[in-house]
Order: sequence, then C-alpha cells, then structure tokens
Amino acid sequence: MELLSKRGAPTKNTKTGLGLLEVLVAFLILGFLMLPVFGFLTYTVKDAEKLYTEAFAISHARFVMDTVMFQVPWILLEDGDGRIANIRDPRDGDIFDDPEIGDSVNHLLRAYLNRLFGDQTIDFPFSTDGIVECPMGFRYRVRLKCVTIGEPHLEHLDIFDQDAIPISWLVPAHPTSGEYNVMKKLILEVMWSNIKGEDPPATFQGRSARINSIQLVAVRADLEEYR
Amino acid sequence: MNNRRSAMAIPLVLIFAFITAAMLMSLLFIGTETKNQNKITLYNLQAHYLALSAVQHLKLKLQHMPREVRIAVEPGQPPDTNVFEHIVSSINPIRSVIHFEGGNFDPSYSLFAADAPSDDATPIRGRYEFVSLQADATERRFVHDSFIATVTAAVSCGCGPDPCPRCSRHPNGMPYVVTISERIYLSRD
Repeated sequence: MELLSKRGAPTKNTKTGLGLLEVLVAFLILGFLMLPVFGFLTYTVKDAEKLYTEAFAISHARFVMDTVMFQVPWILLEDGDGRIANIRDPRDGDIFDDPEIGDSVNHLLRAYLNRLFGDQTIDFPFSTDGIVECPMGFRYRVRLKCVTIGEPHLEHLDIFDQDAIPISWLVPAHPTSGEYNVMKKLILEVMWSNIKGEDPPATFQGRSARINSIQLVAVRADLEEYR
Repeated sequence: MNNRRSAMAIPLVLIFAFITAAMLMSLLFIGTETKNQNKITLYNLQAHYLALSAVQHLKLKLQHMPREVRIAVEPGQPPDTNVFEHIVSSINPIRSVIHFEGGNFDPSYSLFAADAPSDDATPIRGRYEFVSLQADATERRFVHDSFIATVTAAVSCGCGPDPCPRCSRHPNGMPYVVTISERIYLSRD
C-alpha cells in the first residue's frame, strides 16, 4: 500500500506539468519579447536592400565610366546641353559615301547605349540620360555630362608648357563643332530611389531620405590616331 | 526535484537572451560594415578614375611630344621630372576645368539639379599628379624602350569646408589614395 502510494503519485505529476494557461502566458511573453527582434530583422532586410542598391549603382557607374573612357571613340563624345552629353558619329555615312553604313553605326550605337543608359527609345543624336533597372526591381537614372576642354577654356595647348603651342598644330578640328581640343571632362551621376519600381525624378527636388546618388569624375584625352 | 526544475528557468532564459542578442548584434555589425565598405569602395573608385585621368594626361604628352619626353627620360640618365610638372590637376593651366578642389568643389553638385551646374564645378574633392617615369631595363627592345609610369590620385569623402574627423587627420584632407603604375613603350626614332 505504501509502495503504491509512493509509485502512483498521480497528483504529484499533475502539479509538476504545465497548464494551458501557463503555456499561453509563456507564449504571450515570448511574443512580446520577439516583437522588437522581428522588427529589427525587418529593418535589417530593408537595410540589406539599400546596401544592394548602393552596390549595384557603384557597379553600373563603373561599367558606364569604363565604357565611355576606353570603348566609345573620342570623336563621338559631344558636350550636349551642358547637363547631358550627346554621343553620335559626326561623320555619319559620309566616310563611305553610303548613308546605309551611317544607319548601321547608329544601330550599333543604339544597342550599345541601351546597355549603359537603359532599354528605351533614344533618338539620334543619342543622349546620355536614361533609366536602368536592377534584377531586384529598383530603378536608377544614369546621366553623363561632358565638358570639352578646348576653346574657349583653353586657347592654346599650355597643358604641356607655359610656352604655348596652338592645339591646331597638333590635332584636326572637330568635324561638327570646328573646335580644337584634346581633353574632355566626364561627370557621371547615378541616382536611385529606395522604393522598388519607383522612377527617380528627372529633376532634383531637394534632398530626400529615399533618393540617393553617386558621382564619378574623370578626364579623357584624345589618344586616337585614326583621324 | 521541483526546486531543481524551476532553477533551470533563469539559465535557459539567459542563454536564449544571449543567443538572440548575439544574433542581432552580428546582423547590426554586418550591416554597418557593409555600409562602410560601400562608401570606401566608392571613394576608392573616384580616386581610381582621377588616377586614370593622370595616365591619360601623361599619355597625351607622350603622344604629342615623344622626342622631348625621350630626351628627358633617356635610359641611364637621371630623369628630368620638370617635363612632367604640369601633369597635376590642381596647378594645371586648365585649372578652371580640371581643378577638383578649392572653390570648384561643390558638395551639393548634381546633374539633376534644376539649374545646370557650371563646367568648372566638380562633385568630388580630389587631385591627381604625376609621380615618376622610370626606365625599365628588363624590357629594352630593338626599336623601343620600356618605362614604368606612376601616377597617384586622392579624394576626400566629400565633406565640405569643415573636414570630417577622418579627412582632417590627413595633411591634404584626402585620405582615399590610389596609385597606378603602367608600362609605356617609347619608340627610339
């Protein structure tokens, strides 16, 4: 009898177990404690997206700048309206007296520039302004400015010496503008919104927390000898 | 037995809290670190393109004045670096356009601003300069000589007239430095 009472102890087991109310209260407390944790995780995911957009913008800016610095022929780069540069072949089809070849160059340029400034309809002369989209759906506005360092900035080629040498002694005039120049300053800006799918504005409306931008600057020299 | 089981609660809660805190702290650390890395990558990229600009500037001079340069850097002779003293962004006679510091630097520069920015203005504060052009005897060929050109460029983090603590620790306020060396062949004709 004594053994039974010791072994059985059904009342004792009931006391040591957890009741429904205790479990519910435990979950409630745990839930409240986990709220800021999940909030923080959400913030981290959004922050990771923001960091991704920055990394994409830097990578694309590098792609555009490398292409404009080393792949696009010098003669194709024009100043444009002072904010957006133009890219076009000033010779058109005249070099071969065949307008179809000129069109081919334009087709090639259009395909080329769509990779840099977005898949959009761009007309001749091609402007260096457009929107690209990253695989995650964020949209970036890419714009390039070109400043010709020649007349009127530099009447003589005194980049070499104080005893100036006229630029016209060294290089031919540009076929369209008639200017002599040997250097161009390139300024690239990539602007994007932190909101997925939102187009960044074409004109700056003041600083905003959701709009970011990065800039790169380089100077390119006329090192081509094909003309 | 009852007492022992209830005594486990505090250690369990502490372990759980510690693991959660460690996880959150590591996430925060990774986020902050990546943010800093992105910034440093951008500043180094800006300095990289300024250094490439110096290489372009140097090549322009070599292209148009090869004989003058050849005399100045004749292998076996001490190089005449005065020939290259104009390959500096800050004191160059084209100063107004490729001067990337001083009054030309505009922290609020944007190509998307309502008014088109001035041609002289620049969105980054930096400078490039020629460092050296040394003959490389190991690559001497029959019709040309090989030289190693070295240029350097530096940029700031874009802080305005009052430099940030990191930039102010450097003499010229530009802590992000990139140096490029490139092999250049000069014909002996």
